[in-house]
Amino acid sequence: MSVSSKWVIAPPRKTLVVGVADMVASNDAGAELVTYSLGSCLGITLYDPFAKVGGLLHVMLPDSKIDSAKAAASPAMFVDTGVPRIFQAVCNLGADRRRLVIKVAGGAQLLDPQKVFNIGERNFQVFTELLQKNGYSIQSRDVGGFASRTLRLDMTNGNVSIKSPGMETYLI
Amino acid sequence: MTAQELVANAKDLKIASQAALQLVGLLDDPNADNDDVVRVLRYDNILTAKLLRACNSSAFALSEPVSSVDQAILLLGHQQILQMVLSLEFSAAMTVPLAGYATEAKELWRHSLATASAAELLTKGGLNFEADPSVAFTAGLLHDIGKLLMNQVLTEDMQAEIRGRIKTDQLSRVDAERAVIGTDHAEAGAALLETYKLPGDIVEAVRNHHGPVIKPRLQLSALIHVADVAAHLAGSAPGWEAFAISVDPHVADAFQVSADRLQSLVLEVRESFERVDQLMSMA
Ligand SMILES: [Fe+2]
Ligand SMILES: [Fe+2]
Repeated sequence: MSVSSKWVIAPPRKTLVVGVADMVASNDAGAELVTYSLGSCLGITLYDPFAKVGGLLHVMLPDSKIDSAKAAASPAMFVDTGVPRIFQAVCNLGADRRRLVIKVAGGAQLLDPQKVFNIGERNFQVFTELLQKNGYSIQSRDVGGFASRTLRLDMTNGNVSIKSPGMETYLI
Repeated sequence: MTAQELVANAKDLKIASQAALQLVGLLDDPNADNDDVVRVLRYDNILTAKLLRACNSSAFALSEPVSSVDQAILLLGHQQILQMVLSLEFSAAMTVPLAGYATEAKELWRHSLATASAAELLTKGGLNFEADPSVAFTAGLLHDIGKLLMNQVLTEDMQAEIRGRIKTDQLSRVDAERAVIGTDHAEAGAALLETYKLPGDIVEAVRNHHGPVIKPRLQLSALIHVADVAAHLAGSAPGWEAFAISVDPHVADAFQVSADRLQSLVLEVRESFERVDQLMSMA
Protein backbone atom coordinates (compact mmCIF):
# COMPACT_ATOMS: atom_id res chain seq x y z
CA MET A 1 0.00 0.00 0.00
CA SER A 2 1.39 3.38 -0.89
CA VAL A 3 0.84 6.42 1.23
CA SER A 4 0.70 9.93 -0.13
CA SER A 5 3.93 11.57 0.85
CA LYS A 6 2.27 14.50 2.54
CA TRP A 7 0.94 12.12 5.16
CA VAL A 8 4.27 10.62 6.02
CA ILE A 9 5.43 12.06 9.30
CA ALA A 10 9.12 11.85 9.94
CA PRO A 11 9.90 10.08 13.17
CA PRO A 12 11.40 12.37 15.80
CA ARG A 13 15.13 12.58 15.49
CA LYS A 14 16.98 10.91 18.28
CA THR A 15 19.66 13.11 19.80
CA LEU A 16 22.41 11.42 21.74
CA VAL A 17 24.37 13.83 23.93
CA VAL A 18 28.03 13.11 24.55
CA GLY A 19 29.37 14.70 27.73
CA VAL A 20 32.92 15.66 28.59
CA ALA A 21 35.14 12.58 28.85
CA ASP A 22 32.45 10.54 27.22
CA MET A 23 31.81 8.75 23.94
CA VAL A 24 28.90 7.29 21.99
CA ALA A 25 28.93 4.87 19.08
CA SER A 26 25.74 4.28 17.13
CA ASN A 27 24.31 2.38 14.18
CA ASP A 28 21.05 4.33 14.22
CA ALA A 29 20.98 6.21 10.92
CA GLY A 30 18.16 8.43 12.22
CA ALA A 31 20.17 9.70 15.15
CA GLU A 32 22.29 12.73 15.74
CA LEU A 33 25.27 12.74 18.08
CA VAL A 34 26.04 16.05 19.74
CA THR A 35 28.62 17.40 22.13
CA TYR A 36 28.50 20.89 23.66
CA SER A 37 31.09 23.53 24.45
CA LEU A 38 34.30 22.05 23.16
CA GLY A 39 36.97 24.46 24.32
CA SER A 40 40.50 23.09 24.47
CA CYS A 41 38.88 19.63 24.40
CA LEU A 42 38.66 17.70 21.13
CA GLY A 43 35.51 16.32 19.56
CA ILE A 44 36.45 13.40 17.33
CA THR A 45 34.00 11.80 14.91
CA LEU A 46 34.30 8.52 13.03
CA TYR A 47 31.82 7.53 10.34
CA ASP A 48 31.47 4.62 7.97
CA PRO A 49 29.21 5.93 5.16
CA PHE A 50 28.51 2.46 3.83
CA ALA A 51 27.45 0.82 7.08
CA LYS A 52 26.05 4.10 8.47
CA VAL A 53 27.83 3.47 11.73
CA GLY A 54 29.53 6.28 13.56
CA GLY A 55 30.82 7.56 16.83
CA LEU A 56 31.70 10.71 18.74
CA LEU A 57 34.36 11.09 21.41
CA HIS A 58 34.89 14.16 23.64
CA VAL A 59 38.37 14.07 25.20
CA MET A 60 39.73 16.66 27.60
CA LEU A 61 43.44 15.94 28.15
CA PRO A 62 46.26 14.57 25.98
CA ASP A 63 47.99 12.05 28.15
CA SER A 64 46.62 9.37 30.51
CA LYS A 65 49.98 8.91 32.22
CA ILE A 66 49.20 11.72 34.65
CA ASP A 67 46.51 9.64 36.37
CA SER A 68 46.26 5.97 35.51
CA ALA A 69 43.44 5.31 37.98
CA LYS A 70 41.36 8.03 36.35
CA ALA A 71 42.23 6.69 32.91
CA ALA A 72 41.03 3.23 33.92
CA ALA A 73 37.76 4.63 35.27
CA SER A 74 37.07 6.99 32.37
CA PRO A 75 39.30 6.28 29.38
CA ALA A 76 37.40 8.84 27.28
CA MET A 77 38.99 11.59 29.40
CA PHE A 78 42.31 11.25 27.55
CA VAL A 79 43.30 11.26 23.88
CA ASP A 80 45.65 8.28 24.16
CA THR A 81 43.12 6.02 25.91
CA GLY A 82 39.91 7.38 24.36
CA VAL A 83 40.80 7.14 20.67
CA PRO A 84 41.44 3.35 20.62
CA ARG A 85 38.11 2.84 22.44
CA ILE A 86 36.00 4.78 19.98
CA PHE A 87 37.61 2.94 17.04
CA GLN A 88 36.84 -0.34 18.80
CA ALA A 89 33.28 0.71 19.60
CA VAL A 90 32.32 1.65 16.03
CA CYS A 91 33.93 -1.49 14.65
CA ASN A 92 31.96 -3.56 17.13
CA LEU A 93 28.81 -2.06 15.59
CA GLY A 94 29.87 -3.11 12.11
CA ALA A 95 31.97 -0.24 10.79
CA ASP A 96 34.94 -1.13 8.59
CA ARG A 97 38.19 0.50 9.69
CA ARG A 98 39.24 1.11 6.08
CA ARG A 99 36.10 3.13 5.33
CA LEU A 100 36.14 5.35 8.42
CA VAL A 101 35.91 9.08 7.77
CA ILE A 102 37.68 10.91 10.57
CA LYS A 103 36.90 14.51 11.54
CA VAL A 104 38.00 16.58 14.49
CA ALA A 105 37.10 19.94 16.04
CA GLY A 106 38.01 21.91 19.17
CA GLY A 107 41.47 22.41 20.60
CA ALA A 108 40.92 26.11 21.29
CA GLN A 109 44.01 28.00 22.39
CA LEU A 110 44.56 30.64 25.04
CA LEU A 111 47.02 33.46 24.33
CA ASP A 112 49.93 31.72 26.02
CA PRO A 113 53.43 32.58 24.77
CA GLN A 114 55.07 30.25 27.35
CA LYS A 115 52.99 27.33 26.08
CA VAL A 116 52.59 25.77 29.49
CA PHE A 117 48.81 26.08 29.26
CA ASN A 118 48.48 24.93 25.63
CA ILE A 119 46.42 21.83 26.34
CA GLY A 120 44.33 22.38 23.19
CA GLU A 121 47.38 22.21 20.95
CA ARG A 122 48.78 19.17 22.73
CA ASN A 123 45.46 17.34 22.48
CA PHE A 124 45.56 17.76 18.72
CA GLN A 125 49.23 16.85 18.49
CA VAL A 126 48.81 13.60 20.42
CA PHE A 127 45.76 12.77 18.31
CA THR A 128 47.51 13.27 14.96
CA GLU A 129 50.54 11.26 16.11
CA LEU A 130 48.31 8.42 17.19
CA LEU A 131 46.50 8.39 13.84
CA GLN A 132 49.74 8.54 11.86
CA LYS A 133 51.20 5.63 13.77
CA ASN A 134 48.18 3.56 12.84
CA GLY A 135 47.97 4.65 9.23
CA TYR A 136 44.88 6.86 9.39
CA SER A 137 44.41 10.39 8.19
CA ILE A 138 42.02 13.18 9.08
CA GLN A 139 39.48 14.09 6.43
CA SER A 140 38.67 17.51 7.86
CA ARG A 141 39.39 19.57 10.93
CA ASP A 142 38.33 22.77 12.63
CA VAL A 143 40.95 23.13 15.32
CA GLY A 144 42.46 25.99 17.33
CA GLY A 145 41.34 29.60 17.56
CA PHE A 146 39.55 31.27 20.45
CA ALA A 147 36.05 29.89 19.97
CA SER A 148 34.30 27.20 21.91
CA ARG A 149 32.30 24.89 19.67
CA THR A 150 29.25 22.67 19.67
CA LEU A 151 29.65 19.70 17.31
CA ARG A 152 26.94 17.57 15.71
CA LEU A 153 27.34 14.36 13.75
CA ASP A 154 24.39 13.55 11.49
CA MET A 155 24.19 9.77 11.33
CA THR A 156 22.20 9.71 8.07
CA ASN A 157 25.10 11.08 6.01
CA GLY A 158 28.07 11.64 8.29
CA ASN A 159 27.84 15.42 8.07
CA VAL A 160 29.62 17.20 10.90
CA SER A 161 28.42 20.69 11.77
CA ILE A 162 29.95 23.24 14.10
CA LYS A 163 28.24 26.07 15.98
CA SER A 164 30.09 28.66 18.02
CA PRO A 165 28.39 31.31 20.19
CA GLY A 166 27.40 34.29 18.06
CA MET A 167 28.28 32.52 14.79
CA GLU A 168 26.39 30.76 12.01
CA THR A 169 26.52 26.99 11.83
CA TYR A 170 28.95 25.54 9.27
CA LEU A 171 29.90 22.09 8.01
CA ILE A 172 33.42 20.71 8.18
CA MET B 1 34.49 55.63 29.65
CA THR B 2 35.97 54.93 33.09
CA ALA B 3 35.06 51.95 35.24
CA GLN B 4 33.35 54.30 37.69
CA GLU B 5 31.23 55.83 34.92
CA LEU B 6 30.27 52.35 33.86
CA VAL B 7 29.12 51.53 37.39
CA ALA B 8 27.21 54.81 37.63
CA ASN B 9 25.42 54.05 34.36
CA ALA B 10 24.22 50.72 35.67
CA LYS B 11 23.22 51.81 39.10
CA ASP B 12 20.08 49.75 39.46
CA LEU B 13 22.04 46.56 38.97
CA LYS B 14 21.40 44.61 42.17
CA ILE B 15 23.78 41.72 42.52
CA ALA B 16 22.99 40.47 45.98
CA SER B 17 21.11 41.07 49.20
CA GLN B 18 22.48 43.09 52.08
CA ALA B 19 22.96 39.87 54.04
CA ALA B 20 25.19 38.35 51.39
CA LEU B 21 27.34 41.47 51.17
CA GLN B 22 27.71 41.48 54.95
CA LEU B 23 28.84 37.87 54.83
CA VAL B 24 31.52 38.68 52.26
CA GLY B 25 32.63 41.42 54.66
CA LEU B 26 32.94 38.82 57.43
CA LEU B 27 35.46 36.89 55.33
CA ASP B 28 37.91 39.68 56.00
CA ASP B 29 37.36 39.75 59.74
CA PRO B 30 39.79 37.50 61.63
CA ASN B 31 37.56 37.61 64.72
CA ALA B 32 34.39 36.54 62.94
CA ASP B 33 32.96 33.25 64.15
CA ASN B 34 29.91 31.05 63.77
CA ASP B 35 27.77 33.43 65.81
CA ASP B 36 28.38 36.28 63.40
CA VAL B 37 27.26 34.18 60.45
CA VAL B 38 24.14 33.12 62.33
CA ARG B 39 23.41 36.72 63.31
CA VAL B 40 23.52 37.93 59.70
CA LEU B 41 21.39 35.08 58.37
CA ARG B 42 18.77 35.39 61.07
CA TYR B 43 17.44 38.56 59.46
CA ASP B 44 17.06 37.08 56.02
CA ASN B 45 14.48 34.36 56.17
CA ILE B 46 14.32 33.69 52.44
CA LEU B 47 18.03 33.07 52.36
CA THR B 48 17.78 30.88 55.46
CA ALA B 49 15.06 28.80 53.85
CA LYS B 50 17.12 28.34 50.68
CA LEU B 51 20.14 27.36 52.75
CA LEU B 52 18.25 24.75 54.76
CA ARG B 53 16.81 23.28 51.60
CA ALA B 54 20.30 22.91 50.15
CA CYS B 55 21.62 21.36 53.38
CA ASN B 56 18.84 18.80 53.33
CA SER B 57 19.46 17.86 49.71
CA SER B 58 20.88 14.46 48.96
CA ALA B 59 24.27 15.99 48.12
CA PHE B 60 25.18 16.09 51.80
CA ALA B 61 23.47 12.87 52.85
CA LEU B 62 23.21 14.04 56.45
CA SER B 63 21.77 11.49 58.86
CA GLU B 64 19.38 13.94 60.50
CA PRO B 65 17.28 16.71 58.96
CA VAL B 66 18.71 20.21 59.43
CA SER B 67 16.19 22.67 60.76
CA SER B 68 18.18 25.72 61.84
CA VAL B 69 21.15 27.78 60.76
CA ASP B 70 22.96 26.99 64.02
CA GLN B 71 22.56 23.29 63.42
CA ALA B 72 23.67 23.62 59.79
CA ILE B 73 26.86 25.37 60.86
CA LEU B 74 27.58 22.76 63.51
CA LEU B 75 27.17 19.94 61.01
CA LEU B 76 28.88 21.44 57.97
CA GLY B 77 31.19 24.10 59.37
CA HIS B 78 30.88 27.81 58.76
CA GLN B 79 33.21 27.82 55.73
CA GLN B 80 30.93 25.45 53.86
CA ILE B 81 27.84 27.38 54.93
CA LEU B 82 29.35 30.68 53.84
CA GLN B 83 30.17 29.30 50.42
CA MET B 84 26.69 27.86 50.01
CA VAL B 85 25.03 31.11 51.02
CA LEU B 86 27.15 33.18 48.65
CA SER B 87 26.56 30.75 45.82
CA LEU B 88 22.82 30.79 46.42
CA GLU B 89 22.76 34.56 46.57
CA PHE B 90 24.85 35.41 43.56
CA SER B 91 23.32 32.76 41.34
CA ALA B 92 20.18 34.84 40.72
CA ALA B 93 22.14 37.90 39.59
CA MET B 94 24.50 35.90 37.44
CA THR B 95 22.02 33.55 35.85
CA VAL B 96 21.13 35.92 33.04
CA PRO B 97 21.76 35.73 29.33
CA LEU B 98 24.47 38.16 28.21
CA ALA B 99 23.53 39.03 24.66
CA GLY B 100 26.72 40.98 23.99
CA TYR B 101 28.84 38.03 24.99
CA ALA B 102 26.60 35.46 23.29
CA THR B 103 26.40 33.77 26.66
CA GLU B 104 23.40 31.74 27.65
CA ALA B 105 21.74 32.33 31.00
CA LYS B 106 23.51 29.67 32.98
CA GLU B 107 26.94 29.91 31.42
CA LEU B 108 28.38 32.89 33.28
CA TRP B 109 27.14 31.39 36.51
CA ARG B 110 28.63 27.97 35.78
CA HIS B 111 31.92 29.59 34.81
CA SER B 112 31.91 31.59 38.05
CA LEU B 113 31.31 28.43 40.07
CA ALA B 114 34.01 26.57 38.17
CA THR B 115 36.50 29.35 38.82
CA ALA B 116 35.45 29.54 42.48
CA SER B 117 35.97 25.84 43.04
CA ALA B 118 39.26 25.95 41.15
CA ALA B 119 40.43 28.86 43.33
CA GLU B 120 39.50 27.04 46.51
CA LEU B 121 41.27 23.93 45.27
CA LEU B 122 44.40 25.92 44.48
CA THR B 123 44.66 27.12 48.08
CA LYS B 124 45.02 23.45 49.02
CA GLY B 125 46.90 22.41 45.92
CA GLY B 126 50.50 22.61 47.03
CA LEU B 127 51.08 25.85 45.13
CA ASN B 128 53.41 28.16 47.00
CA PHE B 129 50.74 30.64 47.96
CA GLU B 130 48.72 30.94 51.14
CA ALA B 131 45.15 32.17 50.99
CA ASP B 132 41.99 31.62 52.94
CA PRO B 133 39.93 29.07 50.97
CA SER B 134 36.65 30.96 51.44
CA VAL B 135 38.17 34.24 50.32
CA ALA B 136 39.61 32.53 47.24
CA PHE B 137 36.24 30.87 46.53
CA THR B 138 34.42 34.19 46.81
CA ALA B 139 36.90 36.04 44.61
CA GLY B 140 36.50 33.29 42.00
CA LEU B 141 32.73 33.57 42.22
CA LEU B 142 32.84 37.32 41.59
CA HIS B 143 35.79 37.65 39.19
CA ASP B 144 33.74 38.21 36.01
CA ILE B 145 30.93 40.20 37.62
CA GLY B 146 31.99 43.18 35.49
CA LYS B 147 30.57 41.35 32.47
CA LEU B 148 27.10 42.00 33.91
CA LEU B 149 27.86 45.71 33.89
CA MET B 150 29.33 45.68 30.40
CA ASN B 151 26.34 43.78 29.14
CA GLN B 152 23.97 46.35 30.59
CA VAL B 153 25.78 49.50 29.57
CA LEU B 154 27.51 48.74 26.26
CA THR B 155 25.64 49.23 23.01
CA GLU B 156 25.48 46.49 20.41
CA ASP B 157 27.84 48.48 18.20
CA MET B 158 30.45 48.66 20.95
CA GLN B 159 30.19 44.93 21.56
CA ALA B 160 30.55 44.26 17.84
CA GLU B 161 33.62 46.50 17.71
CA ILE B 162 35.22 44.72 20.67
CA ARG B 163 34.60 41.45 18.95
CA GLY B 164 36.05 42.73 15.72
CA ARG B 165 39.25 43.81 17.45
CA ILE B 166 39.68 40.36 19.00
CA LYS B 167 39.32 38.69 15.63
CA THR B 168 41.33 41.02 13.41
CA ASP B 169 44.08 42.02 15.84
CA GLN B 170 44.24 38.80 17.89
CA LEU B 171 43.75 40.84 21.04
CA SER B 172 42.71 39.38 24.35
CA ARG B 173 39.18 40.32 25.35
CA VAL B 174 40.27 42.79 28.05
CA ASP B 175 42.71 44.49 25.66
CA ALA B 176 39.95 44.81 23.09
CA GLU B 177 37.55 46.16 25.71
CA ARG B 178 40.11 48.78 26.76
CA ALA B 179 40.85 49.73 23.16
CA VAL B 180 37.18 50.32 22.38
CA ILE B 181 35.69 51.78 25.56
CA GLY B 182 38.66 52.74 27.73
CA THR B 183 38.06 50.25 30.52
CA ASP B 184 37.47 46.50 30.86
CA HIS B 185 35.23 44.04 32.69
CA ALA B 186 37.84 43.42 35.40
CA GLU B 187 38.17 47.13 36.26
CA ALA B 188 34.43 47.58 36.09
CA GLY B 189 33.77 44.60 38.37
CA ALA B 190 36.27 45.88 40.92
CA ALA B 191 34.72 49.35 40.82
CA LEU B 192 31.31 47.82 41.47
CA LEU B 193 32.54 45.75 44.41
CA GLU B 194 34.25 48.84 45.83
CA THR B 195 30.90 50.56 46.01
CA TYR B 196 29.71 47.60 48.09
CA LYS B 197 32.75 48.03 50.37
CA LEU B 198 33.88 44.43 49.92
CA PRO B 199 37.26 43.35 51.37
CA GLY B 200 40.29 44.81 49.62
CA ASP B 201 41.89 41.50 48.64
CA ILE B 202 38.71 40.39 46.84
CA VAL B 203 38.55 43.71 44.99
CA GLU B 204 42.24 43.35 44.06
CA ALA B 205 41.69 39.84 42.75
CA VAL B 206 38.75 40.93 40.58
CA ARG B 207 40.56 44.02 39.27
CA ASN B 208 43.74 42.18 38.29
CA HIS B 209 42.49 38.74 37.31
CA HIS B 210 43.68 39.28 33.71
CA GLY B 211 46.87 41.08 34.74
CA PRO B 212 47.90 39.30 37.92
CA VAL B 213 50.18 40.90 40.50
CA ILE B 214 53.17 38.64 41.04
CA LYS B 215 55.87 41.01 42.26
CA PRO B 216 57.02 41.99 44.79
CA ARG B 217 54.65 39.43 46.31
CA LEU B 218 52.03 37.16 44.82
CA GLN B 219 48.55 38.56 45.30
CA LEU B 220 45.18 36.84 45.27
CA SER B 221 44.73 38.04 41.66
CA ALA B 222 47.46 35.60 40.58
CA LEU B 223 45.58 32.69 42.12
CA ILE B 224 42.31 33.77 40.47
CA HIS B 225 44.14 34.20 37.15
CA VAL B 226 45.25 30.55 37.26
CA ALA B 227 41.82 29.43 38.51
CA ASP B 228 40.14 31.21 35.57
CA VAL B 229 42.53 29.58 33.08
CA ALA B 230 42.02 26.17 34.73
CA ALA B 231 38.24 26.63 34.53
CA HIS B 232 38.56 27.35 30.79
CA LEU B 233 40.68 24.25 30.27
CA ALA B 234 38.31 22.13 32.37
CA GLY B 235 35.46 22.90 30.00
CA SER B 236 33.90 26.10 31.31
CA ALA B 237 34.53 28.87 28.79
CA PRO B 238 31.38 30.89 28.13
CA GLY B 239 30.55 33.16 25.24
CA TRP B 240 32.11 34.04 21.90
CA GLU B 241 35.88 33.93 21.43
CA ALA B 242 35.97 32.53 24.94
CA PHE B 243 39.66 31.63 24.78
CA ALA B 244 40.77 35.17 23.97
CA ILE B 245 42.45 35.52 27.33
CA SER B 246 46.17 36.01 27.88
CA VAL B 247 48.05 33.78 30.25
CA ASP B 248 50.56 35.80 32.25
CA PRO B 249 54.07 34.72 31.18
CA HIS B 250 55.36 34.59 34.77
CA VAL B 251 52.48 32.89 36.51
CA ALA B 252 53.51 29.32 35.75
CA ASP B 253 56.95 29.90 37.28
CA ALA B 254 55.56 31.81 40.23
CA PHE B 255 53.29 28.90 41.14
CA GLN B 256 55.70 26.28 39.83
CA VAL B 257 53.09 24.80 37.50
CA SER B 258 54.57 22.33 35.02
CA ALA B 259 52.69 20.96 32.01
CA ASP B 260 52.00 17.72 33.90
CA ARG B 261 50.92 19.48 37.06
CA LEU B 262 48.56 21.57 34.96
CA GLN B 263 46.90 18.47 33.56
CA SER B 264 46.23 17.01 37.00
CA LEU B 265 45.01 20.39 38.15
CA VAL B 266 42.53 20.56 35.29
CA LEU B 267 41.36 17.07 36.19
CA GLU B 268 40.83 18.05 39.82
CA VAL B 269 39.06 21.26 38.83
CA ARG B 270 36.72 19.30 36.59
CA GLU B 271 35.80 16.96 39.43
CA SER B 272 35.25 19.61 42.07
CA PHE B 273 33.30 21.73 39.62
CA GLU B 274 31.01 18.81 38.80
CA ARG B 275 30.31 18.35 42.51
CA VAL B 276 29.50 22.02 43.04
CA ASP B 277 27.41 22.16 39.88
CA GLN B 278 25.36 19.19 41.06
CA LEU B 279 24.86 20.76 44.45
CA MET B 280 23.79 24.10 43.01
CA SER B 281 21.38 22.64 40.52
CA MET B 282 19.44 21.22 43.43
CA ALA B 283 19.37 24.37 45.51
FE1 LIG C 1 37.50 37.83 33.11
FE1 LIG D 1 36.57 34.27 33.74
